[in-house]
Amino acid sequence: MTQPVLQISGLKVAFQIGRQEVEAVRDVDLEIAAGQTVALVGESGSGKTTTASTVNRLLPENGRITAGRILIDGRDIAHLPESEMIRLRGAGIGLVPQDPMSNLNPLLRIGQQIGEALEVHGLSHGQATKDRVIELLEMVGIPDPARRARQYPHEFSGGMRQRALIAMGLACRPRLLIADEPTSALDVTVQRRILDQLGQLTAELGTAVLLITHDLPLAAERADRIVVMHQGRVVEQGPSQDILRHPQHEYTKQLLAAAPSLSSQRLRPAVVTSVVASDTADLRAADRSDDQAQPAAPLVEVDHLTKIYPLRLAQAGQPSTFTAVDAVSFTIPRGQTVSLVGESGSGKSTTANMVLGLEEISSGAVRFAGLDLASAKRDQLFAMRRRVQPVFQDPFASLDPRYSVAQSIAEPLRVHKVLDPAQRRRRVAELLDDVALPVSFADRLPHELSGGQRQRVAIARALALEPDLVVLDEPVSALDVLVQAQILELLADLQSRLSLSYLFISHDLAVVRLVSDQVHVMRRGQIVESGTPDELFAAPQHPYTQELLAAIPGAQLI
Amino acid sequence: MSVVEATPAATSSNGRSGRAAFRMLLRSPAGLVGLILVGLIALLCLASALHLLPYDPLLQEASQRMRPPSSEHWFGTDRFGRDVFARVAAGVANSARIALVAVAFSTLAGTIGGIVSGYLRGASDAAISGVTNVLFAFPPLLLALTLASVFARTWFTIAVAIAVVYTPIFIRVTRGPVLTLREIDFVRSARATGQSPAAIMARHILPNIASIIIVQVTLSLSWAVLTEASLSFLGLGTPPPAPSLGSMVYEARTLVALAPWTMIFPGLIMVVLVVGLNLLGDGVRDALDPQSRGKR
Repeated sequence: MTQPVLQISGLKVAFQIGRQEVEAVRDVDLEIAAGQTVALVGESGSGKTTTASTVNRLLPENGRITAGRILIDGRDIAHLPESEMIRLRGAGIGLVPQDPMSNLNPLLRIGQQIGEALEVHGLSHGQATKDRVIELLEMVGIPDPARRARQYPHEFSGGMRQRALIAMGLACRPRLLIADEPTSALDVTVQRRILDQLGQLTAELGTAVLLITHDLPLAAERADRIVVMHQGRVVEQGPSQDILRHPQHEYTKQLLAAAPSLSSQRLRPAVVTSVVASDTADLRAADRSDDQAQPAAPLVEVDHLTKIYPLRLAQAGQPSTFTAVDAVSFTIPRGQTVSLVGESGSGKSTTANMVLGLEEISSGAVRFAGLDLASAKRDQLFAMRRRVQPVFQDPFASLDPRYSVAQSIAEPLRVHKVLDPAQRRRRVAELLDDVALPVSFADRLPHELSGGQRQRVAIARALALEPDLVVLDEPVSALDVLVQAQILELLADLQSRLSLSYLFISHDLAVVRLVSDQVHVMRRGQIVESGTPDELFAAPQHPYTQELLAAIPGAQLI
Repeated sequence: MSVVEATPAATSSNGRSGRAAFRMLLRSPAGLVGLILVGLIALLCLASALHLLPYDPLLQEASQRMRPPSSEHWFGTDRFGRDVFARVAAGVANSARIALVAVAFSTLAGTIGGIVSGYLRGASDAAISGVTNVLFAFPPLLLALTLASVFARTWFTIAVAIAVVYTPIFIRVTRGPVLTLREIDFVRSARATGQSPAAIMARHILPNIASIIIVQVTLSLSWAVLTEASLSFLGLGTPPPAPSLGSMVYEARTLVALAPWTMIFPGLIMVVLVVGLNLLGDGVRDALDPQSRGKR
């Protein structure tokens, strides 16, 4: 049989917003054969998730299919009544959702939740369900499945939960599995193991997989075919290798160019020579050359920095403290970017918070231009804060929703009583210009901006006081790949113009390679390897660094 | 109210502005009905307070005892020949005054307490949460009784008793969201910039929980009216002869067969006020909730 498992043709979806009907997906065509994996790639808002949710007919209430057919094994389900869809979901179409944290019921045992899918569809009951659940858990690579099935979600790590969700998605041996960003909430090394497992299982079972992802290299590595979506349309589709090597559409080319990979070079803006933006910048430049005349003392010295948290619920015989950061030492030279790379829980953000003075230091020292933060007096600390500014990860949380763009940017000026209101207004305009936003944005509120624009505002705010050091805690990880590339370029450009130092925190080695002069790989609170990006990426010494590098999707493809 | 004034963005032209929220309130049926009911009662209170009504609530007319409702005495008269309409108006004004003062106090104290304990954590959190738990354990009647026996029983001591009981609710309601807000990035970056805790609490935390507080205020007002009425019913509230809805119902208890209007009208007004405040609370909550706004 050559009939495809899923065949979508001429699909159109519209959302009712207020009195208007907005088309979110237009003329989508795609096919998946049994055992094949097709990746739907696009940025947020491209319509990829909407397309996927028409397949199991879980569109939001205000959405409806306005045209087109969705054939599952030759049967059109586009207008099937809900009662029949219920039978199809789970049994015919499995789903692996994005967020492993919120998709499991915290009050039910893992085994019960997987068994539920089986029993709802009448595929088994009683002891047979229990046996099958254990079999499924074993299949997705959960060790000691009999014991694990009796545990609750909070006893599982993020990766284990995602495995459990995969087991749930595959429980009824569906013909089609929809995997909606199945690993984007996970660390790269975990991501790799899970995708390996998923690929192996679906190949064995002959399941057709619709993989939804924003990550083009990952799609290329995992899928047979790639469908690229942009603004609700399919702009290009074909075999993965073709898309990767000979992209036809302009948008696909942009996506490929923007995706940072290990072969990317350090971003250096073309104009490195002094660009004099204002008198102050001029002064700063002069200042800087004085500093450089004396053989450079580093701007920041981090010396055996340690953070120990007391554990509240420690049981007898177990350690009552947790060392989040363990004797970490590094320096940040002026005008350079030093990166801390690691997976979640490696202590990189805690280190950044201590450098920012947001977290108390347990032992060791952070010296900023010679000033020891731990023993600094209040006014010294206040003065230091002028020179160190943060940019955080989540563009939706980093601006007060009730502050206008101008109020947010001017806030540090107000706190440090710099400039009068009229001058602050001018400074805001100058800063907006620096981050390439139109001055008309000054009166807007955060909810009127996109994620990338908000991040630019957050950067402008960090630059308001003309700091020496900007601590960038995952500044681009929440952004789409094209926006990410723009922000990274902006950061590199600002660095050379304003001779800033960056402490750059990231889990993404490819991004780190683009921006860093010095990289420190962190694991379990310790620095396991340090070096320049070239050294580190060409010849990683520590096994953990090697594992991290190998886990980057598309590493072997490009 | 200080809560509303402290919202910096409330005046700018955006979806969350006060004016837009007010329009939303008028568009929701619950909000509109609530606003009308509460508005009517407010007019009644005002008329009573300014002595615009034809009868004095305290004036006893022996010739007019227990008269049923008529064009002269709209709500009839009680057993001392006092005009029930005038007494109901004065009573509801009295209840409203007590409820307003009590809720104003608990809003102020509770919001400050909740923000401070949620934002600073540590010792102040332990202290405030401890006091909150103790206060939660006090029945309002017992507290009112204690206060009334220690101090002179005036409307103000009643208000204080109700305020003390309601303050912990405001602490609980604000503390939770503050715990989330203090870890959010814009608050952390304000800290990293060197802004003092007091400034962060006033400039970032308070405006972002204002909508929660406003909703809590409308709901607490209706509870406070009921609490005051039950205290008065039990004889622990507003001392006679000053009229109060609760004590009017208590007095009418023995007359209900002979003169039902003496009980019906104070009860009815109380129901109207409480239902009005609840509907208003629902409407305000919907108007301030961005998620429910998108659906319309």
